[in-house]
Amino acid sequence: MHSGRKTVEHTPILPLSLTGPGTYEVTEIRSGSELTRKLLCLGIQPGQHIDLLNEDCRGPLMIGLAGNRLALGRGLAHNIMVRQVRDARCMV
Amino acid sequence: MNSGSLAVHGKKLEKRQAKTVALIGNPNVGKTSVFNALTGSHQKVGNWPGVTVEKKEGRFAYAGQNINLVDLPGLYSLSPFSLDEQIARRFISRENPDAVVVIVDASNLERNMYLVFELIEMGVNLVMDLNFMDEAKERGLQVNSRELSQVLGIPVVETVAYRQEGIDTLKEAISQAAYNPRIPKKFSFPDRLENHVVHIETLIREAIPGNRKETSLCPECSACSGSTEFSINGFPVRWLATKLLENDPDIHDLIRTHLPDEKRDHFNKELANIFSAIRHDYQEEPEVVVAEERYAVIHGFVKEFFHQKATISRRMKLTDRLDRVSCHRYLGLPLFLVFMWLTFQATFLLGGFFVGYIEGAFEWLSEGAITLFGRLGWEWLGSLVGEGVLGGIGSILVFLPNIFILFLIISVLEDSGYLSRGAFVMDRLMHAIGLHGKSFIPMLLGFGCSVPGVLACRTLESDRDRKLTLLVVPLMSCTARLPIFILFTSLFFARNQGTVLFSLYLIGIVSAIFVAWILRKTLFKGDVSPLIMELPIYRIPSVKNVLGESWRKSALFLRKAGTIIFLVVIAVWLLASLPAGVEYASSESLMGRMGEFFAPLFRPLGFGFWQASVSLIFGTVAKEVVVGTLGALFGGEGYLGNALLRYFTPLSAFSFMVFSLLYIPCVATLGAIKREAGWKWTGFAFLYLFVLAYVLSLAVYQIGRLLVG
Repeated sequence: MHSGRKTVEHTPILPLSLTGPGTYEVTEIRSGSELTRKLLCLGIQPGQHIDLLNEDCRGPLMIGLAGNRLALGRGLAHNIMVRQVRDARCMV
Repeated sequence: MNSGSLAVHGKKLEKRQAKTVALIGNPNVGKTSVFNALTGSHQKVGNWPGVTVEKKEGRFAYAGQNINLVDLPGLYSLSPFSLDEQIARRFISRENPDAVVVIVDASNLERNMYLVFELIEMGVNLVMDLNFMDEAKERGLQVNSRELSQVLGIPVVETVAYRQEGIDTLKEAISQAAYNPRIPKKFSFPDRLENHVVHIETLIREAIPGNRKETSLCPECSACSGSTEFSINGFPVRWLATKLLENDPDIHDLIRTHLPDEKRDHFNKELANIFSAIRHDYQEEPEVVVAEERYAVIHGFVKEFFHQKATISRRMKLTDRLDRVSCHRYLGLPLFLVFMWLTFQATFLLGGFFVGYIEGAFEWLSEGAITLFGRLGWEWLGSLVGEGVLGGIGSILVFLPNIFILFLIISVLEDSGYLSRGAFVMDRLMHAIGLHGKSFIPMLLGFGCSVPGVLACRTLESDRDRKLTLLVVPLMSCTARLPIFILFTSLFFARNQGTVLFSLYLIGIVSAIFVAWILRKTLFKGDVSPLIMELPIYRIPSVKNVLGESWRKSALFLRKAGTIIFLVVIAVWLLASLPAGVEYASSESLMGRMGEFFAPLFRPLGFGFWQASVSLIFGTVAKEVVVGTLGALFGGEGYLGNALLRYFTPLSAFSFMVFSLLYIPCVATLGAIKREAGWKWTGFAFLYLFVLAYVLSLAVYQIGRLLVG
């Protein structure tokens, strides 16, 4: 569960909103929005691997996680800190 | 407590009455199909008290036991974010249903189990339904339901609801649970967190003495009285403790109001200490920690009891492929607009196919009635039935096929999962005008009927976004306005009926954009709250659900035609026939005098004759009544067309349509706005819509006159 935090840190940690398509590990959810809890109960939480599926640099992000897909506003994605794990699985 | 602590609730055993069972689950887990499969046609739809959120109830009997089933709005967790989620939580804690069925998408376990574990923490008498077992099995899921049931201390049933599989077993489990309630096993967090939770529990118990309610499910069982008897407003103490850690604002308020003044400082200090201890331990906010640890428990649990191969299901692959097109950054939006255009084309073309037949039938009936009663010497009755009732109702019922088809298509789009993609691709556009991506769904529903459109605003998390959206929903042209447009366009714009219709819808949409933009700059200043929405896996909609849903909505229209509209039409006929002796529907009648009074107001808009103003006034009861009133006043479908051609020019007809599109919404919509947003905003909607309609129609007519010469 928390093993993710102990991995070697060779890739930079970025807000999800600034990344491109690929698979990421969530490292931190920054509070600052009342919707933080909603992110958590939808399964976006530290340690979780998520796929960013679209490469649009404006508008909402499309996230894949464990058989689910979520649409996420860019403002909210700015509070999700991630580290890249893999390159894109697929692009939308 | 152990799972053997099975006991019957003493008080409820005496009266063997129907039991109330709530249905709960994440959105898109097939809850509606489970509900339909369980209750069949024994359903009724009402409203939750105080709000207009739809409350669906049904019933079924199993082995002579009656069960009332309440369908709760879909939610991801017991931390409510929007109005409908609050309702679901309140129902479970306050109304104390005899049992709760939690529906789980077996092909998407981890996230679904989050809600299950929260319900278990709440000590609810629970039945777990693993739905979509076909899809889960296809993904290689193996589950030992019996073992699972023993470990959790709750019955577990596997179903494929849309194929009716497992429904009987589910019925049995529900009635068993409702009559023999038991408490699920208690789960602990890892010690590191558990100690803090227990500490908060103790704090609450010590600080709030007076609220010890005997709500234990099994009073005669001493084993489990320890943790469940203490609750505040139906919330068990352990659950309150975790919700405090999760920073749930409602629960913080609840505790604050129950805290005696002298204990407040001590309680808050201790709580703050616990919070900082957790922050220190985990280097993270407590709310994140609770969610993380809960997921950790779930993760271990899912690993132990569900054996799944890491395969991607066929549906997921299909979803991937479809989304690559439907959410494409350039293709997505145009594609969606094409879909919308096709929707309206289908509504008018397919629906229009039936119009002639229905019209013919009503004309025949109407003439028959007039002749029949005429022969019997009851001309007045002939006039009432033929001209008033059949003329008025007939002119509305003609549009039933259009309405059914529109609801059918919206329902297919919704069930297939494409509608939320619409919200996704529209988000950027909506943002630009100060609306939320999700606002688009209420607005689309508004094309069917404004009332469900206003209701759907409840899914928006922010109050500002919600109010702003529900204020512009009435600008979306609902199906009740369609009769007006079809009647007038077929008379005055027969050549380019489609284009004119489309332009009317466009005027509504553009007005909504304009109004939303203005409101965001003035009354609702501030940023739009960010989008967060599930994009469900694409599914082929179930024919039964789609037909059922569209029929249910069309039936509401029919019922409206049979009741309110019927009465209004009779009132119109009466007012047009009185005082005794005047010519029917002449300007001498009560109706005529009333219309003459208002007519000058509408003269600058091009329709300053009394029949038009009367029809608009009665149209506030329901917009179909505009046509119904004209129908009753001009004596039925057959004569209506000729009469209108005499009274209107194409320009004034267009101005009349613009006015009908935008002016005061019907009483039902105003009622919905009132309940959702209060009197102030209802008054605001009333005024702004009237002014907007007046100004735009005036512009259309006056500018049009200049152009035409």
